[in-house]
Amino acid sequence: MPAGAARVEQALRPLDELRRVGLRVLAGGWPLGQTLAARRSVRIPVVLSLHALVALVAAVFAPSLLIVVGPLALGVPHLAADVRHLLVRRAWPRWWLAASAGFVVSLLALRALGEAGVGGVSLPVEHALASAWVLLGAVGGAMAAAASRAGGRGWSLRGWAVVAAAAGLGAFALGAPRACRLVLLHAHNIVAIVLWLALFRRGRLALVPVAIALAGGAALASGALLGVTVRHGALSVAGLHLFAAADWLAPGLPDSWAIAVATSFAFLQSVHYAIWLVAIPAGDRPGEGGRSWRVAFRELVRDFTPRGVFAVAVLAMLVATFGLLHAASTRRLVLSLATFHVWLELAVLAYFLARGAERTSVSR
Amino acid sequence: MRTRTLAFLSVAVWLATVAVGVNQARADVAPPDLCTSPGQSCQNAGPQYNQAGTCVATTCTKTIPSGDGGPTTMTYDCNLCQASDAGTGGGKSSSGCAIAATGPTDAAAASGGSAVALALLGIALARRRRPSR
Repeated sequence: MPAGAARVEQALRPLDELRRVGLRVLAGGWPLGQTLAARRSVRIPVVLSLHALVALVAAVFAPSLLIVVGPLALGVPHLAADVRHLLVRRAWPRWWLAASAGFVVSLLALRALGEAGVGGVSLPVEHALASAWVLLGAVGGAMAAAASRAGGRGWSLRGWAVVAAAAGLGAFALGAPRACRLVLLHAHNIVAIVLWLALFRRGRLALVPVAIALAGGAALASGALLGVTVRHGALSVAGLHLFAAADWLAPGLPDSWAIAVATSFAFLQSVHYAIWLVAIPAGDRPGEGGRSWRVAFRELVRDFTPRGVFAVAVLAMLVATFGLLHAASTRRLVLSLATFHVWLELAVLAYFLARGAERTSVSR
Repeated sequence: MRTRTLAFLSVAVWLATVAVGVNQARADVAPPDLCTSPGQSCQNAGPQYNQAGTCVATTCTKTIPSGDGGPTTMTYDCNLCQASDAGTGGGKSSSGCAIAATGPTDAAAASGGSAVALALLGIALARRRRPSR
């Protein structure tokens, strides 16, 4: 391990000591605490449930805070987690990794050109490329399933259905690109939950936080809690007014409904960050035990290389720093450039749905 | 033919066919006349949100139910793209967003057609290249 990484690992020692003390207190004397300390498959759903409840309260009383702070503080780490757990740690064939890298770079380049105001970069072009990625995932999954079956009986009905769905998504993305972008903006929060349940979940207890998330999202979107938000909530945080967010997140809807949808988005976005940064990393390693901060860092370095980890850390700090200075424009730029990860999730989901429901294998 | 070649070929066909429809996208959620940076130029001004204009900081309003059940109007700061000849006074009386008519379009039809073409191609290839194990 390079000297810099070794120094970081050394610096994490106090955190590990804190963690050790915390687990000892948690396990001290009561059975539930001991179970929480010993079993990750229990601890993670409990942590996610508590997070969802806190996020629900925050979405009611300070939805703009969630909408602003989430992407600025957690946007880059969650993108890194996306790439790490969907690509780097999976035993993918090389052609898929190469193709995905090409799609990621191309979509990032198109977004960057669009942000730079270069002409000729249109949303339909971007969507054509991204839809092709999802379709490639579906076709690749269907073929992998066909190749693994004895007798080589061709594609299964499941494979055809996923390919047809991917083609349908492509048609929607091209026929109504702005509507598709809006739908994906909201749906990709749910896609994180689906990916966790389908690929990384451990045990049925995981359904508890999912139920809280879905019920909370539905309650917020229904407008049942809107009166509380408007009367008692902080509507404007860091220059973003909830009503302005509603203009972006739910254009064309009646005012009340649009604001309710914006609060629901704030909540589900927070849940999706927790899924990517807590639940999926925890579900993507064997056993029931915990992991020290130093071991977690060592594994991160192994997956991304020291330079990769350094790049992610610098990028995360840059976004957070610029976010403090120019919250609105930084947040908008981050969300724009991060569009590729929505398609990455859909492409990987299409592959595994077409291939079959078996769990993903860890590549290293 | 190897699996990856077949996969890439299918997607290449998809790309080629949908490219025809890319330039035909017409009906969609209209881009609202919102913008992010006051003072900068923007391209979503005017009633159809397709005119060049300037991003202007202004005040928008929303009407929501009040505590006693009746409607109440609240104002908030917003940035709108206003056409150069539209003046800068006023503000906006609603969210500034609208949904254009949606429905089957040339682009959607072309994309749907290409999807069908892709499916047919897949069937043909899958049958032709079925392993003989």
